[in-house]
Amino acid sequence: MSTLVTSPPKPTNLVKPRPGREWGTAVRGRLLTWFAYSIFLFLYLPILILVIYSFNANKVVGVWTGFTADWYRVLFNNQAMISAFKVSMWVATWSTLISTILGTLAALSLERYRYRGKLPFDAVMYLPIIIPDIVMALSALLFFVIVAIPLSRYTILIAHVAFNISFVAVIVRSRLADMDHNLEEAAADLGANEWTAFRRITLPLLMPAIVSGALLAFTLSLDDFVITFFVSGPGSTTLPVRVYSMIKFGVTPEVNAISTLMLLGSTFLVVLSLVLQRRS
Amino acid sequence: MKSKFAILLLVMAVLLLVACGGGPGGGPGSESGGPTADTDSDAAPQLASELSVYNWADYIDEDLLTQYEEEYGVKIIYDTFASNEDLLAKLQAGATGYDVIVPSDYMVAQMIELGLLAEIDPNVIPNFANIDEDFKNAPFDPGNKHCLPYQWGTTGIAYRAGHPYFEENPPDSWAYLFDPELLAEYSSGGINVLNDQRELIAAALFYLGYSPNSTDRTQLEEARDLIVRAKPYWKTFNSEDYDDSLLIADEVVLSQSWSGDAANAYWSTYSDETGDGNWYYAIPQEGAVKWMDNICITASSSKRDTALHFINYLLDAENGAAITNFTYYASPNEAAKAYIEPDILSDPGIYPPPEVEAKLQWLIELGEGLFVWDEMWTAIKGQ
Amino acid sequence: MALSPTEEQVATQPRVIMEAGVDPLWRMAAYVSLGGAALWTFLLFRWMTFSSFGWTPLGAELALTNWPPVLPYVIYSGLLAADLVVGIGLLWRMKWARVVGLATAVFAILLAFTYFALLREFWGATAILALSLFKVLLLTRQVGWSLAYPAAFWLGIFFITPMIIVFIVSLGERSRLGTVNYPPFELDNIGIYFNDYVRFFSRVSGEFIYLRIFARSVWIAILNTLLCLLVGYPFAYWIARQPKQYRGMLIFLVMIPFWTNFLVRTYAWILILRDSGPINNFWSITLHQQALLLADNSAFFTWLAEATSRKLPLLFNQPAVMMGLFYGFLPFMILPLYSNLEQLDWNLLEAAADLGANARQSFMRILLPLSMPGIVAGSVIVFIPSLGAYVTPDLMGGAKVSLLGNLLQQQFMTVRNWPFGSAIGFIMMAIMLAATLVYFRTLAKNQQMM
Repeated sequence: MSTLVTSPPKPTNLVKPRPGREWGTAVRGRLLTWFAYSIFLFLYLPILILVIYSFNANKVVGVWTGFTADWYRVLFNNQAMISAFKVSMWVATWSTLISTILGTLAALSLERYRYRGKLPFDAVMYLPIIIPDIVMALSALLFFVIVAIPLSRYTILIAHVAFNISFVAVIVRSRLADMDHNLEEAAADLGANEWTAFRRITLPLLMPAIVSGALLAFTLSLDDFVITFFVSGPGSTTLPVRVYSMIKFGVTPEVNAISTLMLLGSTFLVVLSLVLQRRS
Repeated sequence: MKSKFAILLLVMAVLLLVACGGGPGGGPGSESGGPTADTDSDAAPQLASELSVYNWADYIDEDLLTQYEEEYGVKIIYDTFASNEDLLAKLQAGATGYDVIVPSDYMVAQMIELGLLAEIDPNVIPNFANIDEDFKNAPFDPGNKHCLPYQWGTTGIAYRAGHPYFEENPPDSWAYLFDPELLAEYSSGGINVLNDQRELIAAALFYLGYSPNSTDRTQLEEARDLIVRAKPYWKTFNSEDYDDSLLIADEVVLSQSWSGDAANAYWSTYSDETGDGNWYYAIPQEGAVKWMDNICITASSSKRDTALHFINYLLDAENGAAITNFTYYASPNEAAKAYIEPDILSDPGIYPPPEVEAKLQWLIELGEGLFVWDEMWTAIKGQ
Repeated sequence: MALSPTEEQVATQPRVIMEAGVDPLWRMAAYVSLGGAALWTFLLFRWMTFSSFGWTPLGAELALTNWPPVLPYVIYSGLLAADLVVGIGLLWRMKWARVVGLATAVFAILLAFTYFALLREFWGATAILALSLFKVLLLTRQVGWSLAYPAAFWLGIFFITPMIIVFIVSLGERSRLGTVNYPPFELDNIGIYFNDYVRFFSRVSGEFIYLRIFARSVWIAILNTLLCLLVGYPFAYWIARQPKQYRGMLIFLVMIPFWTNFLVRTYAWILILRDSGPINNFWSITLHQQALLLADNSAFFTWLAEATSRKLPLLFNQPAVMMGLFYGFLPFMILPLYSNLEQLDWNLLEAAADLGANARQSFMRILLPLSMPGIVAGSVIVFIPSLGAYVTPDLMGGAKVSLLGNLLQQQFMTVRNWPFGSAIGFIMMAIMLAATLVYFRTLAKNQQMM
């Protein structure tokens, strides 16, 4: 997922194939290419299967009997699924919003200022990335139990923001570190106050990284299962938790349909972000 | 900046005004009842707009829920769990939003002890009269002070009809699940066991000739060793959707199974040509577990009236029959028998004959003994 | 997941962009004070009117009705007045406002804890604490901390505090009913608190059950990391050597499947690998029938017919779990490797070739050392989640293969032994931290070398 971490373009020097270098190299290159193709096949095989089966007329998943779009219709009439989708979107949107603001501020602070206690804070910022999500999940659960907060969509939101902040901060920070400082100073020299300098210079330059961070946060939040599973209460089931229980408690081809739609949705999001980044 | 400041002041002023106007002298100590005034008993109960139900997977005809929603305007939030232990863990972990839950016998006893269930008076539920006297006043909940019977059944063995090995040796013993020599004959076809601590270890204890509620460490260790030896022959631990994803889909040839799930597999594969289904169910001769699931209201529920109303709806004769016709589990609802399909009523796997019933045993709460069971279960799963 | 250490860069950038900022901190403090005033107004309002409104969180406040009810009036309205005065004073740049503001904030911080202890109402206490702490930071002109504050507060309350709670719970013991008990404190018997840690590493009824699960998890995580590395490295190398305009697209193609939900992908593999899935259908139907037809011709086909009469055991075993993990984490290996290889100076390789190095030599001597940071980063990023995996073993292992994650989940969700579950969580965390330290050390060493 770190493709979104925009690294400045580096000059690269392609090796030109050396003329006369034994054909062994060529064979090796060919082999490598085929190897790469087969990896792609491996990566796409399950996705393909899902999409195909989502149009399968047979209720028994796996036996092809004919084409149908029925599962999509069933899906759109499935109240539980729709409400799960709504909860997922609600959590993802708010957690993205909050964690992007908080993470960006933290990144600015960590990258631009020196203060006492910064090192421990820096370390703590990395912890949510490092710690296995199941440990985070159980700690969040224990916390909510002990302070007597009933589990609901708000507890999911809180836990999601807690891990998203770190991801946003890391991405924004790497961009800040690469950024040219002179621009800000020049602006200051020209009499801009620091808020104007930030708004006019730093923020626009930082925007691609912030968008990347937000997108990553959104995806992580939409995708998260383990933490949500632990801290979700009745009526606050998210899509992944719903899908999990569908897989566990009897699968209908609706799962394939929802997966295909989710695939479409996320691909759209990524393409959108790429387009946005190219423009800026 | 000035304008922002002005807005802020304005907001503050409004807030203050509201605050002062809200309760002149209305000191907190001045009134007695407070906000906790409950709507305990009413002639015509005001139904809440939502009711949260936590039930076993695949354990109700969901049309009944839609019907209830349409008829009474109460939205049912329906969630499912896979085992009694999952249910308890979720409740203890602070999932306070559930109103109606469906624990089994031994779990009811444990939950009562933990104070997780609300006390009810069964006589305010008109359809309580529908329940068979045999199922009222169960030892785990004397006087039905907390729960009402929902469904009951047995835990036995489901096996593939027409499998060459089972044609000659119909699995009538737990040995078919635990004896490596037998397992070697057919385990390539796949074996499933229930992913349920109490059920699996109880089956092993039956096979060894011990009580399914034993808390004796050496007996339990013996059971553990038995299971660990058989485990390599098993394909899956599944108690959630095994009837659909493993039995009907032909992923296994033999499975530890609850009676209704086996019947579901039978009727789902039933063909009119042969007049038979692909799955048979047997209650092993060593004995087996008999269980009953119960509808209860959580102590944390704030919608008791609606919950009672919903429970009454489920205990209705026709609705009770609809549940059994869907799940293939036996109904404790005497009045419902008139509406239950005759095929189900006459199925000895679902309603066992007296001589079989004599071999069935309830699971009871283990008390301190649960520690040993937990240890064995961890060891089994960790192998 | 780019873990970029930026200590050096920070050191070289001592400039503070907001150094001229006398105003913004104070102004912010003023707004926070006014926000605090709004909060006190709300609490006051609630205190005055709860009996007529019947708000639920107020049930807790009822417990205080035995107190002189005047005390909350005094406290809430006093703080309301103070915050209003401080807010306005700060906006008008009154020197005294700072001192009064600090005093109010400190008092409010103490109040927050008392409030929580007495009323057990989390949100009110958190709101009071959040605003007051922020005010202290702003008024003591901690620019860096003020900026980091929202994130720091959030992580402090919702991440660090839970971690501390996990540790405390891990010191207790499970009661019969599944609640947590703490043994009475005795200095010479302090070891009793660490029983669960000891239990993890010791024999339980004759066997090292937990250690075995632990070893299996580590083993699978290492194996998975190696596998991902073996496959991911040549693949990343291949992408890095493609013409520049294609590379972005190729990496994008690697990512697309991973924008579907993790569970859904796992489920797709179940569909493919199960007995009635396409692979087994091909094996035991198509291939079997062909082999049967040809069985008379040769010994090979007889053998094949025999072999294809049984389904391949593809699912619900340890290799299936491995496969699921491998598929799930391969991109986490490819990405860091690619971003490392992409920036390599390929001229070095060419130079080596010119100097007569053969392919193996130039790989071992040049490519491998240069791509070490990518390898280490990828390995850590794959290793950590592999060790914590719990959904894949559950779904693809048929709930039969138990790893650390499953053990933890089981302790929490089935057995309800929270202390032991917490102890396992803590042990896992320690391993992760160790792995990450190794990562940073290697990285640092590598940078020294270059």
